[in-house]
Amino acid sequence: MFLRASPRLLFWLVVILLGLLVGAGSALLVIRKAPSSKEPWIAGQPARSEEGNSLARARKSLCCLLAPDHREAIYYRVEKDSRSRPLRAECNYQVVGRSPDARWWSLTIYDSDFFLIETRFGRHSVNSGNVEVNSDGTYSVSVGPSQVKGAWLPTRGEGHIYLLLRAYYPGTALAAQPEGAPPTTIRLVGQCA
Amino acid sequence: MRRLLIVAVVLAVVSVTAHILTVWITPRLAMRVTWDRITEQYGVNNAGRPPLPTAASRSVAMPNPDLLHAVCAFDIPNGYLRVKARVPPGYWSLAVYAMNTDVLLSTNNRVTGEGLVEFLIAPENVTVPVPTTSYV
Repeated sequence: MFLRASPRLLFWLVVILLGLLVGAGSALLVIRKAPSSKEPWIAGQPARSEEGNSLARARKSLCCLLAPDHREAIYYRVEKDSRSRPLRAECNYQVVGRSPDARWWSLTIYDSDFFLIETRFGRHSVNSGNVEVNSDGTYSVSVGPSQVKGAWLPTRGEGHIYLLLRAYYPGTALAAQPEGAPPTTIRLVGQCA
Repeated sequence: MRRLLIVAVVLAVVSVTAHILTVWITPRLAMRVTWDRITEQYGVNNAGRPPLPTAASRSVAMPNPDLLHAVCAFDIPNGYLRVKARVPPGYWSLAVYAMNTDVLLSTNNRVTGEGLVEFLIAPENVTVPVPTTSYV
């Protein structure tokens, strides 16, 4: 009876509901989208309020809640390979890079929900203390479902995955300009549907 | 035509408002959920030492599986919090976060050195007995 008596009210309720959905949906898309920067590594957002803004806070809350100040540690989130294709759990990759100018660093793999991936190996990261550095100063890490000798971060299932490079105690130059991190390549190994 | 214009304006105003509110509320909501999880496990004004995260851990997104952490959810509107710890040699850091996720304070072993460290954390309106040798 109420609906029949108030088609005009119903119409405006639908308009408002649509507006709420569009507004909230677009906000979540913007928050989840990593800021464009030097591909594929993306420097973390400043942690302090006077340097950040609402969007920076929102992005940080999804990817790196309770992360230290950016002068304490710099985070680089990676979601694409070097040819700008999204990283996927069912594909194998070779990550080659140079150690960032930091006292300690780690490279961790995450599932599409930003949590650690459940595999029988229980291995989720490599760090500067356990990864082998080649004679030319580079390190190499395999990522994917196929077991590989050496540094390997296993994945399982399908869907998007993320890598996060944490550089703790960054050098002065890197802390001042996080975009100056050493270039890293992420190469797809073999075929992937 | 006029009715269509009004609908478009209302839709735009509601959308923009919802967009801004969602961006504003997301970090506060994330921190509130984290606060609830921490206090549920360790209580308020009480330090907890969670184990290294595993694939089953859901307390914080993108958990760090390499570093040990201690957490304390504190609420001190009229008092101060005393944090005392015997820190290990090597790297460690302490950060204080606001409920909107901002880092209010960040310090590490470069500032305090090793051994026994003590922090007094207080709101601006509360006076605390700070020893003259302290780092403020």
